[in-house]
Amino acid sequence: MLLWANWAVAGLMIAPMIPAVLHAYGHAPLASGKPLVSTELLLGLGPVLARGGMPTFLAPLLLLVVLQTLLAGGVVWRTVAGGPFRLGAFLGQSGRLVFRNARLFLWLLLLLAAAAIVPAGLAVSMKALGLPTLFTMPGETWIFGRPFGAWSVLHLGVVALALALWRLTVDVGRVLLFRDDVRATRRAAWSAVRLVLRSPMALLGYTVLGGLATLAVLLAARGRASLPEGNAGLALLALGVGQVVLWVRLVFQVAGTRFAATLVERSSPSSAEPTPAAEPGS
Amino acid sequence: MILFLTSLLAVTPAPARFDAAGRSIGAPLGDRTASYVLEARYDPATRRVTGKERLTWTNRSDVPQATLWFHAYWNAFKNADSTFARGASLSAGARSSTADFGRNDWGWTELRSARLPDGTDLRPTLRWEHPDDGNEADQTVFTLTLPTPVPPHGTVSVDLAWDARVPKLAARTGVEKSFTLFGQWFPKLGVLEVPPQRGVRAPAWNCHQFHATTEFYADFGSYDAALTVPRSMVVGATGVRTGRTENPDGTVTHRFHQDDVIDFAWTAWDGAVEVTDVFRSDGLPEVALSAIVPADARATAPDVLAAAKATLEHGGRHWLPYPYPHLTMVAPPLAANSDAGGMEYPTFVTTYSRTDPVSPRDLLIWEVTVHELGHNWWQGMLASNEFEEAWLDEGIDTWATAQVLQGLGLRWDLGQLAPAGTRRFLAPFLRSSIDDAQIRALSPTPRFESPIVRPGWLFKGGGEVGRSTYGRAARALGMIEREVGPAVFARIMRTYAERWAFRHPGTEDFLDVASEVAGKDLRPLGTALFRGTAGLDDAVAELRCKQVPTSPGPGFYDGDGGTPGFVPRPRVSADGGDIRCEVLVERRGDLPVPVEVQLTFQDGTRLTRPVPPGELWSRVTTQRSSPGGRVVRAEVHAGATAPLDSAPVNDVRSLDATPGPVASLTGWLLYSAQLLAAAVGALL
Repeated sequence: MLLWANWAVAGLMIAPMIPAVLHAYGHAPLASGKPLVSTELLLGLGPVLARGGMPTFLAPLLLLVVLQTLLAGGVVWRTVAGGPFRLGAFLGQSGRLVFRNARLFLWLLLLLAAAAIVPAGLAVSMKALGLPTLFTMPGETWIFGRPFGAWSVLHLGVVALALALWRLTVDVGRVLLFRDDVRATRRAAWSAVRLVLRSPMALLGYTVLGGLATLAVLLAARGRASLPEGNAGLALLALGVGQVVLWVRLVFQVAGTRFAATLVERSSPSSAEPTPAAEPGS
Repeated sequence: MILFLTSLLAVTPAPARFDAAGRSIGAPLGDRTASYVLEARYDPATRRVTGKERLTWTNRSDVPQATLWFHAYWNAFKNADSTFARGASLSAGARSSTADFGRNDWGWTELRSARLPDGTDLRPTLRWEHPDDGNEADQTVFTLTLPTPVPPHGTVSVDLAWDARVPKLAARTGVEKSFTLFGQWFPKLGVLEVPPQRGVRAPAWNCHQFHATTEFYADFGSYDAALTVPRSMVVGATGVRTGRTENPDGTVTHRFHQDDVIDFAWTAWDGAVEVTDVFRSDGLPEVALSAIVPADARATAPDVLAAAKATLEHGGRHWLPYPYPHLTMVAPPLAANSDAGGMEYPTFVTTYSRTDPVSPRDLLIWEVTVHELGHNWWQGMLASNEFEEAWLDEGIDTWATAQVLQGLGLRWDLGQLAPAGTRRFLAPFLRSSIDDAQIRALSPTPRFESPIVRPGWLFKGGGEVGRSTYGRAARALGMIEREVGPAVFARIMRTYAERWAFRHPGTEDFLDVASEVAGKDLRPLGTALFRGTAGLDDAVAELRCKQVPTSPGPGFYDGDGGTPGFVPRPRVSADGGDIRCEVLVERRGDLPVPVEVQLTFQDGTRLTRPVPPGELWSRVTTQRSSPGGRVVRAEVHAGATAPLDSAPVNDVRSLDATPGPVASLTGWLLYSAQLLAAAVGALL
C-alpha cells in the first residue's frame, strides 16, 4: 500500500510533464542514445518542465501527507496484530486512526522543535569554538575542502540521534494509540516521549537502524545510477532497479514501526496484545 | 651524434620582449599613456594602507586637457549607499556584496594630497563625480583640475598620497583572515578616449563608477611598485620581482616592475606557499610561473601550473605569444574562493584552491585558471572597455577557454564537484560529459532581454549580465564561425589579436577585422548578434506522411465533350500509390540568418528547400512514389549546428518515433518524484 501511494503521488507529480516530454522528444533523433546529463536531454529540459510549475509539483506532495497519515494506522495494525493481510481490515484501521495519528503528529512536532535545539545549540557552540559542522561550515568547503572531518561527522551523529529520538517517539506514539485505543493524543504523545527517553539503548538501536536504512537506500540508489543509459530498454531497467530503492526504504519504514512495537511490548508486556476495540468494525 | 640529438630535443624559445626586470626590450609594445610609481605600506593589524604614487600621464588628444579623472574604487566599500552596494543588493548573480558587512568591515580610500612636481596643491580642486547614476553618496570617481591644461600630446606628472582601509573581502578585493587581495587599490586614471577610438567623435574621459557587475578599463603604462608588509607575509604581484629589502622594523619591502600593462594588483598572505615553475616552448617566449597557494591546499599548485602552461601554449600558437616574462597565479584560502577566486589582472590572476584536487586533472581548477589567464589576452593585451562592452573580454575569453579545454579533450564531469571523500561513491550519480562552452550558456532563449553590447549596470540584473556577456556572446562568436568556417574564424581571431594588442578595440573594430579577413561583410550579422535582442530557435515542428492514390480523387471531372463525369474514390494499396509528406518548419527566433530544411527520403535521396526570408514558418509538401518517397527525416541547420539555437534538439524530426529519450526522461522524472515522495514520507 505504501508503494502504491508512492507511485500514485509520483505519477501525479510528473503527469503534467509527460505530454511535453512526448512532444519534445517523441520524434527527436538527436536525443536518441544520449545519456541523461546531456545537452539534448537533461540540459534542454527546462522549457519542458516550465509547463508544470511549482503548484503541480507541490500539490501531490500534500496528497502524500494525507495518504501517509492515513496509511500509518494500517501499517501499525499490520505490524502489531500480525496474522494474514486483509485489505478491508488494513483500510479500516487506517481510517479509524487517521485523525488521532494526525493529532499525535502535530503534538510531536513540538518534540521535533525541542529535539532540534540540542544539535542546533551544539552547532552554534562548535562554531564559536572554531570547530566545523556540516551546517555551519562555509559553503565553499563542500566543493573546495573536506566537509567530512571528525568534528562534522560527530555533530552529524548528534543530529541523527535527535532525529531518531523524534521519529521513534512518533512510531511509539502510534503504537500506543493503536494498542491502548487512546483517544487523548496529547497523553499518548507524552507517554511515548517518556518511554523513549527511558530507553536509551532502544534509541541507540533505532538510530543504528536508521543509519542502516540510509546506507542501504544509498547503495541501492548507487546501483541504479551505475546502470548504462541510452535506450528505452535501459531506461525501463533503471526504473525497475529504482523500485528496489523504494522497496528498501519502505521495508525499513515498516521495520521501524516493528521496532517501536517491540519497545512498547517490552515496556508493558501485560498489555502486549491489541485490545478488542482495535479490531475493525468494533 | 649526442649533440645533434640534444639540439633536436632542445627547446628554442622566442626572443624575450622584456628583460629580467620587466622592462621592455626595444620599443614599447604600445602607448605608455599612464604610468605609475607606487609605494605602499600595509599594516595588517589595523588593515591600513599608506600609499604614495607618482602618476605620469600623456594627453594623446589634439585638445588641451585641464581635468584629470580618477577612480577611487575602494570607496565602493565605504557605505551601503555606494553605487556598488546599491547595485549588488539589487542584482541577483552579482559579485559578492557588502550586505553582510559589520562595523569593522568597510573600507575606503582617502586622498591626502595631490601635488604637481613644482609643489602646486591640487587637493582643493577635488570633485566627486557621478557620471553613471548621479548618486551623490558614491565616491568612486573624482577629478582634479590642473592650473595649466596639459597641451596636446604633452605630459604631466602628479604626486598623490592616500590612506586606505582594506575592506572585508568582497568582489575580489579585501581581507579574509591573514589573506589580503589588493585589486583596484590605488587612485587610478580613467581613459581619455581619442577619436577614432571606439567611435568617439571628440576627446572624452571614460571613467565610470565602480559597479556591482563591471570595473575594468585602463590605459597602458609602466608600473613600478614598492610594497612594504610584515616579514611573515608572502607577497605576489603584477610583473617581475626586482628587489626585496629587509627593514629594521620587522617589515620587508618587495619591489615589482612591469612595462606595458594596464593595471597592478597584489596579494600579501601569512602562511601561503609559493611554488614555481617555468614555461618553455619552441618559438614562444619563456615565462616564469608562480603559484601562491594555501598550505592546506598545496596540492592545488600542480593543476594551476599545468593549466597555465596549457593556456600559454594554446594562446601563443593561436592568438598571440604571451610577451611578459612572469605570471603569478593566486589560489586563495578555501573559505575565500568565491570572493577572491577567479579574477584577472595583468600577469596576475586568481584561481581556486582545493584540498583534494581530482586526479589527473581537476577541471574546476583548470577551467578557472585557463579563463582568468585567457583574460591576459582578452582585456589585458586587447584592452577593451569592460564597463560598456564586456563581451569583448568575457565573451571572447569564454570562447577562448572552451578552445583551450577542447584542445586538451577536457569536458565537465559533474562528479568532480562532489565533496572530497565522497567522489568515488557519488561519481555514478553525477556522471556527465559536458562541453565547457555549454556550461557557460545553459539558458539560451529565442528572444533576449538586452543586447550584448550594453553598459554592465544597465542590464536587467546581475544574472543577465553574466548570461549575455559570457555564454551568449561566446555562442554569438560561434554563429560567426559557422558563417565563415573554422579556419577563417581562427584567422579572424589571430588577426584581431595581432592588430589590436596594446590598444583599445571596440565591437565595430572586431567586426571590421572579421569582415576584412572573411572577405565578406559580417557587420549586419554581427550587429544583429551583439547589438540586437534576437535569438534563434529553428524547429521542425511537424513531419507527417500519408499514402495517396496516383489517380484523381473523387468528384466530377470533365470528360469527352466537356460533360462532367463522376470519378469515385480510388483505392489505395499498401504498397502502391504515392506518399505525400508535409513538413512544417517554425522560426521561433528573429535572428536574420538564412535557414534551409533538408528532407531525407526512405530511398536515401535528399531534397533541400530554403525557408523564405522573413517568414516565421514554412510548409514543404512532397509527393513521391511509395515506398521510397517517404520522408523519414527533416532537418534544419543540417551539418552546421547553430550555436545560438536555444533548442537544438528540435532541429531534426524523424518520422519514426524515438522511444529512448522519452523513456529515459519519463523514467528519470518518475524515479526522482518517487524519491522525493519517499523522503517526505520518511518524516511523516
